[in-house]
Amino acid sequence: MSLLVEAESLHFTYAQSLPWQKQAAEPSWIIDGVSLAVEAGTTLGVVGESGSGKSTLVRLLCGLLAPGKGEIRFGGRGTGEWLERDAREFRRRNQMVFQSPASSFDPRMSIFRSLQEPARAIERRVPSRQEVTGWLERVGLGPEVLDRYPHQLSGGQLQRLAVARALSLGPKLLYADEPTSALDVSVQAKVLNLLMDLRKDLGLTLVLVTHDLAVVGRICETMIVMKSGKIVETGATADVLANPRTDYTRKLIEAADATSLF
Amino acid sequence: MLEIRNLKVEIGGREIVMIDALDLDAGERLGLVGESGSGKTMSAMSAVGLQPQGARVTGSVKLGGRELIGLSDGQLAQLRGAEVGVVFQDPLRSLNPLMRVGSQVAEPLRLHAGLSKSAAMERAVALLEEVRLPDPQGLARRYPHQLSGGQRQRVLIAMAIACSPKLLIADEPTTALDVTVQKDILELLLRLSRERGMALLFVSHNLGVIRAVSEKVAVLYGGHLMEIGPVDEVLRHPGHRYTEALVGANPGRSRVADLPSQQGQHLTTIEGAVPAAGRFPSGCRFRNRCAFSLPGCAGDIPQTRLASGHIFRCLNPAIEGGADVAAG
Repeated sequence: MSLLVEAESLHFTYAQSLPWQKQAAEPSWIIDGVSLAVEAGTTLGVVGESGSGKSTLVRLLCGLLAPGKGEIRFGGRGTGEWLERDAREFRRRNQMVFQSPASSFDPRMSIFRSLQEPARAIERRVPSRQEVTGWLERVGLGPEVLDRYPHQLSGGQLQRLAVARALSLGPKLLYADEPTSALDVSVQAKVLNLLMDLRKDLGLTLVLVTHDLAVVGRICETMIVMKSGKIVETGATADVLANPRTDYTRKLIEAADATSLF
Repeated sequence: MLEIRNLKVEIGGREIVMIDALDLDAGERLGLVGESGSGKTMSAMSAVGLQPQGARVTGSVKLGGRELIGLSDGQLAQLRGAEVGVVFQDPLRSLNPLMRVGSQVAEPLRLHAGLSKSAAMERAVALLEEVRLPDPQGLARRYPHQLSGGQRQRVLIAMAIACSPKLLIADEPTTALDVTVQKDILELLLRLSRERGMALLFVSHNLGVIRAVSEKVAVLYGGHLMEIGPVDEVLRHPGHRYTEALVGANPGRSRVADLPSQQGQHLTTIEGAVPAAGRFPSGCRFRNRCAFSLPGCAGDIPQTRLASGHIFRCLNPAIEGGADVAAG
């Protein structure tokens, strides 16, 4: 097993002072000294409550934000260097699916056009209708959706299209930030099944951000628990859920168990 | 105590909700579950006159023997707040940003119970304490934006129970909250219902949340009642195929520590999508998405009643002997 992503004492904060103001010597970090490693081909779950920094962390890892301090390596090479020299290749290998499917699509573009975008932007080519139809099969949708516009489709359809679009460039790593929290349970089940299948069929590495421990329990092999920008616990999902070592994790598990079905 | 018969809600000639029979005893807790577009909020709100503009509500809703359908807006406003408390999903939008929290909790007491300003304020502080808010005296003087989401939801609950209603309707009260806060709010609702003997009609899309607070669950799809019964029995032995699929789609089927052993197993999915309002098929509304549908599902479906009070309408039910049991 090889490490695909490594992060070392990551720190991040949004600008806290205006450019002409004096900066505080040590800002209060939103991401406060996070180190982690993701093995190729595994699924990592990132859990925590709102404000814990879990979404910020994945935005750092996939290069949408730059760390204030610390280092991230993707495939053994620093992300700073990736983005400077091979930004397109880095984007091709790191793709992301966001929480709100409705705001992930340009309302003025047909689905066909939206799905072509990554190839146009990163590979500088225009994929054919036939090729795009092929991507749809993977997520269980038919070609009839291609001529529709986002407002004509349901949340579940759009989220599966977002996954299809993210996969269109053949990424190594897919980041998904709360991909099912805007969806109904039966629709969530379709997206979660899809993510499980993609891992198996494509050998994809998946980093899944969620507040739902049950989702992590069902599809992630390893997990990290975040609180106030720090990792409070990490390990194999089965271990962490069965033998939590911190009170915080225990509290999250109790809260999840309080609403289990049986 | 609450008796709903043939409650029908129509908007622009389209039938959105049709509930033939739903009862709630005094002090009983019932969860109304359904996916988006199932009509769960519409049913609960229409029952107490909170239907959207232009909706036509017919049928009968009796609260303690008194018919609510046909009451004037003024009479309904008298009823809500006094006999029925309502808690909504978004606590921030339900509070007045310009009024101090204490005055908002005191308002229903002055309106409905006729208390003086100072007596109402004193009572409001006691209510804030009852919903376990820290420093109720100081909190009463704060504005809604100064509170956290969980605290705001507690304030709303304090307002809703201020006049000791016999029934509390809670519409997705924990959906916008973190799971740990959700747990506290659910415990609070359960405790209040028990201590005050107050019935609870709890609307949610989440079966697990409903199980945490209710004794009974009613499953809604396309505005129709698919199944109703004791919550643990319905979850363990669902009768209707829709309920069965809804349970199977839920990733939180057991304690989270037991979930990793189920990794790699698919969750149950449902073919197709929920049709738009008014586009549901005749007969069983779920039949065009159901993997077990029979030709007879297009017609009238007889009710199956089990001894435990578990009722469902399904021709090809998920439990053995279902359809053969005395139809009512």
